[in-house]
Amino acid sequence: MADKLLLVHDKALRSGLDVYEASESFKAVHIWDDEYYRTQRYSLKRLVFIYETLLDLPLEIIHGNTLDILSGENSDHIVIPYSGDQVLKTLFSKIEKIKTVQYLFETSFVNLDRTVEFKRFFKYWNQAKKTAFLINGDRGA
Amino acid sequence: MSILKRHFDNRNDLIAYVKELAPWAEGNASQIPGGQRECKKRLTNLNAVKYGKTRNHGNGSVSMLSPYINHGIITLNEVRNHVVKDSNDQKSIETFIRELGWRDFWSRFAENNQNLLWNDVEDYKTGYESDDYEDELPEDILVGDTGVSCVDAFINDLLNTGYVHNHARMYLASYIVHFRQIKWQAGARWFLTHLLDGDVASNNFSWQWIASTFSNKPYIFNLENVDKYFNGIVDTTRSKNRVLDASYPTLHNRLFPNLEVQNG
Repeated sequence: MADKLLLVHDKALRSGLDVYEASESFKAVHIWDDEYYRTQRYSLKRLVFIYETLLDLPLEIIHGNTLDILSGENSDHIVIPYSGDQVLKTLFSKIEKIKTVQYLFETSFVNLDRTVEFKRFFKYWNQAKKTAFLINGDRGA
Repeated sequence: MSILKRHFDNRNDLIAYVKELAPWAEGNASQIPGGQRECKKRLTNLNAVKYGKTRNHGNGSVSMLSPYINHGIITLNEVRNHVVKDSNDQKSIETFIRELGWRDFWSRFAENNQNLLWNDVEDYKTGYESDDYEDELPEDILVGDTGVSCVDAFINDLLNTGYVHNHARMYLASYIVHFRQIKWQAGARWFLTHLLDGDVASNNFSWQWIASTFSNKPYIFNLENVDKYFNGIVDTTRSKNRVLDASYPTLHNRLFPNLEVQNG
């Protein structure tokens, strides 16, 4: 029986998530949340694109409200691929109030301190290009 | 709560099903399909060297990977790794890798500045204040009937396919903000609804770059430039694009009368 739940949202529709392979301990779901999609104001083009991609992934597509569904789940541990999307981040913080959340982070594109802020692209690029041409951004191939 | 279908006889059945799930969603489905296989196909066909030489042209060798990157079907790291491992000449792939860098740059900036995603990062540098710009897009823009042929063609791409060539996006954004004097937020919201690759950070900060609220000057374009890059793809006949048919100094003086006059 799955003791963790992987919540796959529309900004992380990749099959390469390692946790899919841990099917013994993970249950993977996408929640088709009307309120979320309406907030994002996606057109039908975008929704069809998302649904079509979901069909390639080993997960269950559940229709309903994200918080209601997660509240009813036995698992206390929710694994979520991190996203900086504003609407998703608001949702994540609501989930954190009812469950223990563990985020999965993508390998960074470049090896740069995230706290350093660049206000113009050329300043960013002067630093970023040192690792942008390296496999895994110099984080070990 | 209910479990949704995972098997469909064909794409039309899938589209009808999604339409039923989201009757509020605007428009029709795009011909651009989602899915892992489509993403892999585009990655295999990617030619980063050719991209660097032709990307500004309407028929240039663009990757069309952005919808797949945006929905996390593939990551920036994976795309970069794919390009780098096949190349022994950094210079020839630099333009492509730098474009990936733009997406990373916007995402990093957004992470630390969520409050600026929908607010001006800086003042407009157009001689106007934010309040001088309209809040909403008018009907002629929303339906692609502005009477400016090339602009209408680009809007048609946006509404029907959910994909617009990057150079054409810049034209459209510039037309909306500078030629029609509408707030960048209205255009950004509209793009996010329709673009398959609509990512709030890349989209909104790119709009701000065009508007000059996140750059040193406003981006404008003219018909000669559209003709250079999109000739034969959109109608660039002068009589059908009159508002764009002028030199850069003339347009600058017309669009920004409060700024210093440009001669030329």
